[in-house]
Amino acid sequence: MSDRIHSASAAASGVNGTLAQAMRDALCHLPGVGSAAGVHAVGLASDMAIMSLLALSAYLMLLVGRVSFGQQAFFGLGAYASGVMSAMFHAPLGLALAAGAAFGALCSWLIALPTLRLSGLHYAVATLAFGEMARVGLSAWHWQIPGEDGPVGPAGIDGFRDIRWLLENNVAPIEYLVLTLLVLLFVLGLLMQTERLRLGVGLRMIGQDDTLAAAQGIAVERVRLFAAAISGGLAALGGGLYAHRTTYIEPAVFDPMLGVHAVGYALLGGLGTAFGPLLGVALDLGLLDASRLLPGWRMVIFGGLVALFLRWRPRGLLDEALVHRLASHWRHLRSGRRTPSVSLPATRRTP
Amino acid sequence: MTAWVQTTIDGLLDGGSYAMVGLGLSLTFGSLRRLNLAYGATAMLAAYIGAWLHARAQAPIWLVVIAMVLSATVIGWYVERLCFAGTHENGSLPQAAPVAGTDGREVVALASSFAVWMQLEQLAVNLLPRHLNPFPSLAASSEWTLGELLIRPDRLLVMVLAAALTLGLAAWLERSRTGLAWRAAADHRTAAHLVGMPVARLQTLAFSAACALSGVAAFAVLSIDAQVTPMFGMWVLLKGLVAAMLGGLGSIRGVLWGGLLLGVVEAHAQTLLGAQGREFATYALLFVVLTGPWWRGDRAWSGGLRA
Amino acid sequence: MRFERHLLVALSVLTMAMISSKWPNAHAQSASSQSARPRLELQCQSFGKGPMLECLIELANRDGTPLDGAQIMLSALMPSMPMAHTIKPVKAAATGKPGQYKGTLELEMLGAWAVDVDINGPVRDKRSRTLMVSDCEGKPRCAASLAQATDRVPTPTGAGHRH
Repeated sequence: MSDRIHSASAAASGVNGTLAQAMRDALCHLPGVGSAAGVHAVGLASDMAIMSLLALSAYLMLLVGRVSFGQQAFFGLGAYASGVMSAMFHAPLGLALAAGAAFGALCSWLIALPTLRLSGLHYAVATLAFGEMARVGLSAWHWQIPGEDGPVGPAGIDGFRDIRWLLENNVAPIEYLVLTLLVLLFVLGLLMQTERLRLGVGLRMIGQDDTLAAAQGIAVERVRLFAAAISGGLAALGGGLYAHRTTYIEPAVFDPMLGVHAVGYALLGGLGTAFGPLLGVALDLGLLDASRLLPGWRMVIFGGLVALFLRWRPRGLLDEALVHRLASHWRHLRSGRRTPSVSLPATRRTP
Repeated sequence: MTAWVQTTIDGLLDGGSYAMVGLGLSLTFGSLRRLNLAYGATAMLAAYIGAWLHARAQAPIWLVVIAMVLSATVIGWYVERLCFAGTHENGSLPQAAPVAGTDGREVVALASSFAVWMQLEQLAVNLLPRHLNPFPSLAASSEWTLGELLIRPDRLLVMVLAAALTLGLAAWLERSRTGLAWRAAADHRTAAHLVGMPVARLQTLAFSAACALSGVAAFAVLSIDAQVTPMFGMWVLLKGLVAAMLGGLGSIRGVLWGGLLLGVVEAHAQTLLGAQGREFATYALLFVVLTGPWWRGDRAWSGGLRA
Repeated sequence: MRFERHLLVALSVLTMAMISSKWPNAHAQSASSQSARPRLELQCQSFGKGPMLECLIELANRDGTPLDGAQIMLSALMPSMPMAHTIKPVKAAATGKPGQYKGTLELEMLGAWAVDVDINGPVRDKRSRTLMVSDCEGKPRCAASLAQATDRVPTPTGAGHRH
């Protein structure tokens, strides 16, 4: 199977190959890439991009009005699935990532079937319970097949080592970073496109008031399930990217704190736009963690910020009002005319 | 046969700790209709303060207990002020909440309580950076034998304490005037306010009492293990949540039955499926209880405070 | 609108191209196939405030001859909080003994750490070991032992489960 895929992609890569080769030569000769600081920066950027995918999956669930503490489970399931595909079935990276994402989407959809009808509070606890079930299940899963250098495969609580696709195919960390960023940009583009469609508007309507949305003719259950599936797929995609980046994964990585952080990034960064969760990730991993600002107090500051924002600015930094204002300024600038900018009235208090 | 009975007894004894740990969660949910996710972290920070006193200041056990209960109460007050105080029905949120709708406020409070969970956990780890920290030990040195069965007296004491606290609290809620006031404020906040009850103060009191209970539970459980680790917060939250949910969130006696049931299920799962089976059974039980088809919506779980 | 759509299409094509193209020899040296992976010995000692972790690496070929002249980058991450606690990677320098390299990492806290050894030349490989970095209890230095499976299984109050 992998042979056919390789030959097909070789044919397709005729033109793409030269372009890709040229880009990669340029990347590898960037100054400072091999130094410790360069490696650190590349690693940090990759982590931020991967975490953004997880934060986006939590954001999508928040849009439809549910706090999910189980997204780390789909992250983990996607990591294991794509690891299995690439390390044990020798699938190319794209296929492994896609398979992982599809698996995550399927699992998320299956779990959403019984849980979405629960109220927000019980949904949160149910997803937390499922997250832990997935973690414990993965730590009991043993499946090893003989490899060239010993057995390869998930080894229960010791995790899944030797996911070496990137090493075997000579992908440098900076190339992988570009790949991860491209995937992230693609996902962002997709999310922003859906905002313009009826689907995106419907998602937000369901989050605001599902009775009203149903009265408008939106199939609330189906759209929610769809959102759950997509968010599971996003988390799993992030998981696959993570597994290949670090070359090994273990169940301890997928503990509830990861999912809690993802929800925190979405809430802090803002629910008005898909860039909100990215802002949250940048604030925590970029500003607080990497800059070593008050090391050892990162979670205290981050947690405090999230709690304060929930009190006084519940839709986060980039909330809908701010996004509208920015968008209208942008339109104003682009049109060049002195059209009066439309500013929305401040969001009314919920009755 | 005796192996089965022994496992069940072990499960019941463990269940006592779970019930004690879940008591505060159920009380919080019953009186405020809010789930406090920072509950585990509150207990952990209080436990770390106790461990710190024990290790650095050589404090005697009674002082450790008092310090733990007091610090848990103070931390609970902080959590309540930050996360739960402004989110009641007759107040309105400043802007559209992240999760609107009928349970929007519940979820906002839930979300800010998990943020505080992160804060408290980090504070605890900053206080005592080591992984294993010694805790004053009240562990029994030998086991009692009852025919062929072995019973650890320290665990038995914890179970008896749990039953006493639970049944005592339930009785107090049923018989006393303040208990009646708490239940009234939980049932219908506005009506209680109209008849002149200081509802906000009552609920703050209930919240602080729940956190104080968590301090007591933390001491009881940790004194048997004689050590505390950074995973304690998550453990308290998850076990307490399962015990409280099994018995019906808000029902005080329910927590006792829920905890005992959890303990027994876990013990048998461990015999059948090993340590990981035991963990899996806990979460699977919670998941099944929440999503089971015999459950028409979750109205019964959202009932108010009841003994 | 059209601009964004075109951008999206271009990005998708670029992504597919990069993923699906067979990776011809890149700038890096050829990766070691599974059977030619070097043998790695890792010994780490913790000391000081931080704590600091000094790691000694011994690389050998499959046949036992020491592997000299490798570019080694050491880094670490905490398995339970994978993308937080970022540690600055450190180049491991040759100590003079054949096949031996040494580097010192500055960690953020005690507990279980996965130490990553990134080998970049003459072969390319990436290995990792999970170590328990614990308190030295008065001694200036102590060895960080390999994390056991028992370190990861939680006991009743969570004691024994790594943070």
